[in-house]
Amino acid sequence: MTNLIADALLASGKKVLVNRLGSNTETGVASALLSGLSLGNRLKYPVAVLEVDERSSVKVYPHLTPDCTVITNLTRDSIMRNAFPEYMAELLTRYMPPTTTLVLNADDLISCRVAPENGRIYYSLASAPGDVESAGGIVNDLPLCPVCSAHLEYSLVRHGHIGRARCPKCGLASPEGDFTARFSSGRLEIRSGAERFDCPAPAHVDPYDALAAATLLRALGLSAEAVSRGLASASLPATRRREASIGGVRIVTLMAKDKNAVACSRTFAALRSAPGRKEVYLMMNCLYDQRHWSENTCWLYDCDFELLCHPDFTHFVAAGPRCLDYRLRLELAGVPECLIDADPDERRAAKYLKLTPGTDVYILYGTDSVRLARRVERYVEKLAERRAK
Amino acid sequence: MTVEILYPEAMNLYGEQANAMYLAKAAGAELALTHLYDRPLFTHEDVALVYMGSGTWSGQQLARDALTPWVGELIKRTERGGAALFTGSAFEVLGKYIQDEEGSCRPMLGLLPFYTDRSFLSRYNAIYLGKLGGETIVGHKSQFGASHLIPDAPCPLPMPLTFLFRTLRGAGLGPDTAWEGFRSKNLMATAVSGPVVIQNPPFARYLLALMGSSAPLLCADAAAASYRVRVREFSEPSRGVTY
Repeated sequence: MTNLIADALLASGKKVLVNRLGSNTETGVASALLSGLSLGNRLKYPVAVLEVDERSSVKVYPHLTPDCTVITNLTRDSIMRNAFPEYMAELLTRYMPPTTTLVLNADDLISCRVAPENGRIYYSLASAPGDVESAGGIVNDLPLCPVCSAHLEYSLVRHGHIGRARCPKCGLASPEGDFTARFSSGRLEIRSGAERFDCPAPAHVDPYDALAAATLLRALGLSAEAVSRGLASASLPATRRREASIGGVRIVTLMAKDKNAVACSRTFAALRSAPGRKEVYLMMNCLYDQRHWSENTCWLYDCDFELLCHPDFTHFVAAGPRCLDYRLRLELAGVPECLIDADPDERRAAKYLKLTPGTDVYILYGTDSVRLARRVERYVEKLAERRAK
Repeated sequence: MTVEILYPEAMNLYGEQANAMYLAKAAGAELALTHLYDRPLFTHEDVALVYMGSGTWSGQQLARDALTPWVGELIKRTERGGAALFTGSAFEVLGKYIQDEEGSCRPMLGLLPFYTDRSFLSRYNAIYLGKLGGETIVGHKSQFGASHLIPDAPCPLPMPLTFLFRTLRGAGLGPDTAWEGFRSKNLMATAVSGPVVIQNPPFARYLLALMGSSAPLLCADAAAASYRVRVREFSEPSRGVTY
């Protein structure tokens, strides 16, 4: 998301300061800002695009007043830092500077209600094939009306509580989008009032993120053409997704995030809908936690591992310090025991991969294991090369 | 046989409903979901286990409101020896009140003699290692504050009221209390999450027996292997207690 916005601004000729590598806590934001100063203490950039972790907003916003803040959605994340979305919404409301204009997802009735006194622009994605009326999966972070506590009615659900909701008792409803879009064949057809424009959603990027970026960029005054050009030049960073084909085996390395049930469930849903046979290597352990503590794995039970229980998934390898927790969760989801191998050593675990030509291999890793995932990926590629000979 | 989950739409955090689902599936029991505004099944039918897991702040409030008319029935059921388990922040709903740092005080069900303080910005995240009888219990705690015993507060639940776990590492009821959770007959309440049943096969077996089931645990080998690793890790003196 941050990269999308920054890339589009760069493509439009702006000089942009950005915390591109995802250092989104207060220290990351501070170091990005410091890097934007010359030795003479002058600002080198007219624009800063900063990704701010919700929890860090407490420490960032007292010192920094953004012109615009985009909140893509609030779903449950790390239990330790974020507790639950209702708490994060309250925290953002308390700390959001009052002059900041919010760019909000109209299809997320939790983030829509952040800082109600602030100026706001909503974006919304129109109904598309595959949308359903009721939430499947384990997690729905907003089953009840936040005003009167009646059960909400959803006319459309993308995942969890992301969709269109209405309260049958008090009438609270998802707001209409100021920018609405239809997504098809990798393109967004965006409408805002009388204006219509078309823009690409880069490959493997969530259409919501592309629409949020387009909404923000129009709000910042970029022309529709510049927005479209800018998004066309953006791409997903290699730290998030890589792909290689060796000896008839497609190896896809994907950041699925750790301690984040919603993000992992969405990755599992994408894998489930991908055609063909799949072998999955799971290494979404939080390595930082493991160094000094022991990861709280409760999120595994909010995560839809049941999506992986399908004949297309031919084999699983669970790796890293929590590999046995993954094995248990997979078994409880219904995956036969004989399809699961587990080893706490990531390299040793990789040797269990069958690397069968015609079967795609997915390596799923967490946010703090980017380097380790790259090493595992290289090792798996070597194994695939050796087996192909 | 039926396992009842109370208010799953309000008390649905941290994967905890899996505790009840696990026990129900192992015992071959039906799983009954009682929603807010519905009469709990345990008030008029035989239920092997009543369960409530963690919820948000508003979820706790709604669960308190929903359960208030049925507190008398819950006490009677406990007197009869009915099994019930409250985990994570559902534990706080059974206390006297929750007090926040701004001074506001939210009355809870008052079934157990403690109160909970809540701080908006601090979060206590820790591993938990304790004992239930001779069995080791592992889990985590993730709270906005701590709970504190009110020694002379009346307790409407049947006596004797005992603590549930003896703490070996991590915080008990509060940071200075060596005991964690409460037990009145077969009603048990603990702030430990995990899901604590799935992470602790001995506890799961114990609960199944209380429910009247002698069925084996689900995925028993995988559960035991994961449990052994966690017990070993949590027992290491060099392993940090707090996040």
